[in-house]
Amino acid sequence: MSQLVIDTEKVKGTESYRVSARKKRSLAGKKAFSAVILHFLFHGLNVLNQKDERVREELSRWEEGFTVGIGMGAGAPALYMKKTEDGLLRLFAGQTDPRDMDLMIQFKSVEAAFLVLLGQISVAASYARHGFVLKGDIARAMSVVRCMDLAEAYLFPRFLSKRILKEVPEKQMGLLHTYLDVVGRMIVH
Amino acid sequence: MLPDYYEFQHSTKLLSGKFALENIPAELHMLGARRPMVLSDHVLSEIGTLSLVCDAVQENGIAIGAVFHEIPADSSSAVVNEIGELYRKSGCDSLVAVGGGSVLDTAKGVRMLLSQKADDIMELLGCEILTRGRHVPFVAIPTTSGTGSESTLVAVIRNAKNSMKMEFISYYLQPDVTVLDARMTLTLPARMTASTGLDALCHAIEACTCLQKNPISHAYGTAAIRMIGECLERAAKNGRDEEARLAMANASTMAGAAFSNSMVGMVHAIGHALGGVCHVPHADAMTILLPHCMEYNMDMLSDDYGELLLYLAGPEEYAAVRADERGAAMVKKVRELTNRLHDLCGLPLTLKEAKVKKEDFEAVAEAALNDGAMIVNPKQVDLQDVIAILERAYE
Repeated sequence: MSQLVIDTEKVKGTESYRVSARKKRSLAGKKAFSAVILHFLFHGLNVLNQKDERVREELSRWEEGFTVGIGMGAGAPALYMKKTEDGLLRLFAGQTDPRDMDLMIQFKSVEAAFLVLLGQISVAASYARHGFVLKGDIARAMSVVRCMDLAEAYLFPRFLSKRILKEVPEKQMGLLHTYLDVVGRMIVH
Repeated sequence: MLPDYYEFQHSTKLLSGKFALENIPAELHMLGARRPMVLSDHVLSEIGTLSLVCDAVQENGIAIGAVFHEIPADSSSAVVNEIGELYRKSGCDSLVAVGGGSVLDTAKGVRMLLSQKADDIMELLGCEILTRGRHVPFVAIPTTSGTGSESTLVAVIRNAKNSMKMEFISYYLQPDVTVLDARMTLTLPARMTASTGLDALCHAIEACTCLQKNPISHAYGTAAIRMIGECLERAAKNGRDEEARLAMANASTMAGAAFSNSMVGMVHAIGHALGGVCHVPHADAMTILLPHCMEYNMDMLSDDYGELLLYLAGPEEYAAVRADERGAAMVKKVRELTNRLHDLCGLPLTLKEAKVKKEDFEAVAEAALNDGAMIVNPKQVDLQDVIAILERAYE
């Protein structure tokens, strides 16, 4: 008869369950990957704001100073952005409180965020799976979702975007061109 | 087929049938409440429906602490905040809401305000952001059979500052108890019976076909469609038919539970926009749009619609139609139903009849794309698609 041995650790003087090393490694990997993709997404949105009229039109409707965040819980990467005259400005995560965002998409787990950021499912599918909670006006969130759908169409290869999006939007520049522009912007900024 | 992940909650206790109202005091007692605040509207107060409820509630040591019966048809955050203040001043400990969608959604807003200890309901905007908070016992008594608000986790409340309708979505919005008593809908006029019943049909059809559909919401949705198919016309033709009235109340509640857990799609997104821009009553917008939107979605949802024919038309008719023609047959069946109800009580079947102006189409389309319901529609919808649907629905 096997017995489950629970490893424990002291947290604030109380005995607590210790998360297994395997789970810790898995989470660390997913968080690192998510941080990279969020960084890429931020620069991608700014490039598309210049190159794609649909993204430009969506962003033009956000008022100056409008803030939007994408997070996945405490201790995990997050993207906080502010609409400015020049496009989107990234706010320093360490100095930003997600509660202060006008619109906050908070994934319920790193895994839920990972599915979207890895291109396994769309934002709409994540919503249908109750993958995130949303603080703020749902109507405003629809504009963010449309921008993210467009970003996914540009940043993911067609076989992936075709699988996850309801309809792949027509792209106004190719995948290679998009990547070069995004990487170029990342180097400059 | 199972979705790879889904969630479902219908935590409301249902009291359905004869003398259901008279069991409210016992339910309040079990919930630890003694002094409920009763919420309703002016019309229900005038026609005596409200007093029927108040008489039933004041038993077994339950004393009504306050009554607010001036909730308007298009309630707002200001009304919610005002009621919240009255509740606190009156020393009430629970809510009993008697009315249609506006009254029930307002009550949900008041409950949110009280349980979260907020001063303004607009601080709580969002989707699934609320934590449980303080428990405020809440009994919902619907007086129409359509909105399903008594079993949903959604409240739509107008922002008093900019008149925009705002959506609140939380599992803590569902009432503790829902009371379905045929006496509550016996006086509902035929036209209102028909249009709210079609709203419920729309909830059920969209719940069974949108991206968030799941086997439990499907079971509720299909059961609702069957009851609507059997009893909506009976209730519209003879308002005193208690069996049909109670069946419609149950259908509405089941359709509400279904769409509350799988959401609604483009019919509601465009319908909300028509309400906001052109002030078309919600149920009328649903009646007009439903067949057109089903046709738009047909290439993706033909099989799903085809399956629903079994519940709306019955097994004989379902079996007589070829499998690949059932989706179109379902739309035809919906059209036939709305046409008969149009002949019976004058339901509008076109946007022209609903006094919508063509020059508003673009504004309606823009608002529809920003409606949260659009995200779960299985087929992509853009501005031109919505305008094309509005054109087809015009005359």
